[in-house]
Amino acid sequence: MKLFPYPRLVVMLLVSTAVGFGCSKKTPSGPSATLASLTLSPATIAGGNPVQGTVTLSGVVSDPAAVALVSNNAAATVPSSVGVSAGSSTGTFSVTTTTVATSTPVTVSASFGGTTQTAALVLTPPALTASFTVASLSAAQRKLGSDPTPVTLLPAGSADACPLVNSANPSLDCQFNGTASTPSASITAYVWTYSFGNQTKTETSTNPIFKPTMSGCASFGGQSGSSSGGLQFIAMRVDLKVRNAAGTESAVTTNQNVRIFPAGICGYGF
Amino acid sequence: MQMPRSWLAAMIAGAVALCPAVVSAQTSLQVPLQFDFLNPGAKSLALGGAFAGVADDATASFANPAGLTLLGTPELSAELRSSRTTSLFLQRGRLSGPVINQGTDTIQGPVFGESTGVHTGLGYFSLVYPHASHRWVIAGYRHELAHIDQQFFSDGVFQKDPTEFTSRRDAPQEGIRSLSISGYGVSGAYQVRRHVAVGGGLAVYTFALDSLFRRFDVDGFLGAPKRDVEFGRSTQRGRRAGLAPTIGVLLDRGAARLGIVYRRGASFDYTTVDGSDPARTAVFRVPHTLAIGASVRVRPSLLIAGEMTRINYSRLVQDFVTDQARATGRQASFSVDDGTEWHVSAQYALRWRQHPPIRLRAGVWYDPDHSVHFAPAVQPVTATDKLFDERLSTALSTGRSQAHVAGGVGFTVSRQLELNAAVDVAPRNHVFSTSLIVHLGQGGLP
Repeated sequence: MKLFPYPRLVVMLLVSTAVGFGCSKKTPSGPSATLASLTLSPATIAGGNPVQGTVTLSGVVSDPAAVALVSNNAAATVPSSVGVSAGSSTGTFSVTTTTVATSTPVTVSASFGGTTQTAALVLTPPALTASFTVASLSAAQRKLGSDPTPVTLLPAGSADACPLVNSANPSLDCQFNGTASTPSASITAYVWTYSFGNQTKTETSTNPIFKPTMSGCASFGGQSGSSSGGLQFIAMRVDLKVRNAAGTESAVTTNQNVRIFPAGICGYGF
Repeated sequence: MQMPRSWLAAMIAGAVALCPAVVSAQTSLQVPLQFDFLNPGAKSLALGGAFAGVADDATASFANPAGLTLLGTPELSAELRSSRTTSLFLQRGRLSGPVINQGTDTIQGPVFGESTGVHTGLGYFSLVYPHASHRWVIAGYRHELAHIDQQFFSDGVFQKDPTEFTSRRDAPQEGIRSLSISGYGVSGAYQVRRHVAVGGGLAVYTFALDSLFRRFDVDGFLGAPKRDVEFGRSTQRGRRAGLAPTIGVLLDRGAARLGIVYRRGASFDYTTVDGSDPARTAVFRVPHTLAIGASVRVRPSLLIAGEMTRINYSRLVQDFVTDQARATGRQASFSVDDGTEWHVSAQYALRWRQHPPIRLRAGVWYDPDHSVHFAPAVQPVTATDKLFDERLSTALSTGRSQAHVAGGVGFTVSRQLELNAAVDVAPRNHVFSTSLIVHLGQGGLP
């Protein structure tokens, strides 16, 4: 009696099955995968802005994996590790950077499965910019006609106004308050250029608070002694640029919304 | 009884160009205010003002007193008049220098706003009494010579002189004006010969002027006006009465008439208070007018009329304009030209059977520019003066001569009642008028 009529077929199936198993590729997992690369984008950036990092393993993993991260400079901090999800070969993380005064190189390292990769990051100082405000220092009042109550035309601290005071020797009575994009300690000069009428002046200070020094009704371009100009406002243009210790200068910031406020002098009716 | 047919008539047309009042300096003059002194009555209005050679209704008591002799019966006349006048004023924009494109400094070139005044009221009322002899006539009347209510607000224009580093801005200004001149007069006419009549009148004019001009702060140099912060104000106020005579002649040769009228303009004191300066008094002078007109009845149903009216608007310059320019020291740069108006019209009597005719009227007239002009009398030296000249030249550049087109209709409702309606249209002026004439005596219509 024959138990199975095709013994050769059985053998062939067994052999091919065994061979087939032996030829199949087993997915790396755990320590069997390696860290292929570490990249940072962008590689150069102004401090204070985030950077994206990417780790890439040599193949997809069947189980979640963690890649250890290290930064060699506190100006750029990284998480202690970045995860790689199952079925993936990459993981991303964010590098937090801080403002730096000078160009600062940073090295970020990633380790996995006994392999370490590094990437270079260069942090640059932020672009040097200047800004400022203008405010009046004194108030101006005027008594209108028969109205017994003086009217405050310009309260002290008014923005974008620069009064002239002292009719005997009219002079500007306002102040500029400058700020820079970098800490004030790093700024070595505030360069102010201000002009109105037919006069212009450039002055430099180390203090961010500056009081303009222009004086005299001649600044009004011949209005002195004439009441015909008393119904006009004259603009004062103020420009500021700052310079840091490295000699870097900011672009010029301009305010053309400042008005001179004669308050009853220099031929002005109000 | 044969109705008198040959009389002379005349009328006076007037117009006045006013330029505003100024605050603590120049600027009410930047806002031209122009108005016209028109003859009363819907009939005169429909005839385009060509009434000196017609003058055959009760409005002759104002327009040409000599024409009163044309009226055969006592008459009562009333007119309701509505007017709409538009004036342009410099409202915003930049006159020179580059636009900064911040705040309100975003428009290169001047922007003019429109100030429109609308008024409706009893324009005229009169009572005429002809003597039974028909040789003399007397009349009393009330006439609203001018009535203006206007207001404007200017944001303040930007300017920059090439020699300066920065721009300037005119302080925002609000202006509110009210002017009213009404006349209460008596007139008389006498027929000296068969074809010649003379007339005269004397009127008491009441004058009321109220103007307020205020200046305001702005938000920064470029920002919006701050209407809650007032920098200064100026007022012009006057409540006065003044006498002014009128004389007229009418030559009537039946189918043709010739009328000549001369009317003196009254003068009124008013007071200007400019900021904290001491109050000062100036004089508002109504222009004198001389009108010469003629009419020809080419057919029984067709009347053609024409008129030339000379108006010395320049009377307004003295005081009223120069006072407002006083603070600038540039009074000589302001002027108002005298003007000559030309009027032509026709009236056609449409008859149907025995019914009273319907009178169709149409006219056109030329209204010369009588606005205030600015032409620098001296070469500007300082930037302030240069910009002042630029600003005033621009602000006072909008005056234009106008052609008026008028039309209307007259109905004879009964032997005692006549109704007229008229409209006068020009680019910046619209007038609508209805008037009622009641014939009180025997004999009915002339």
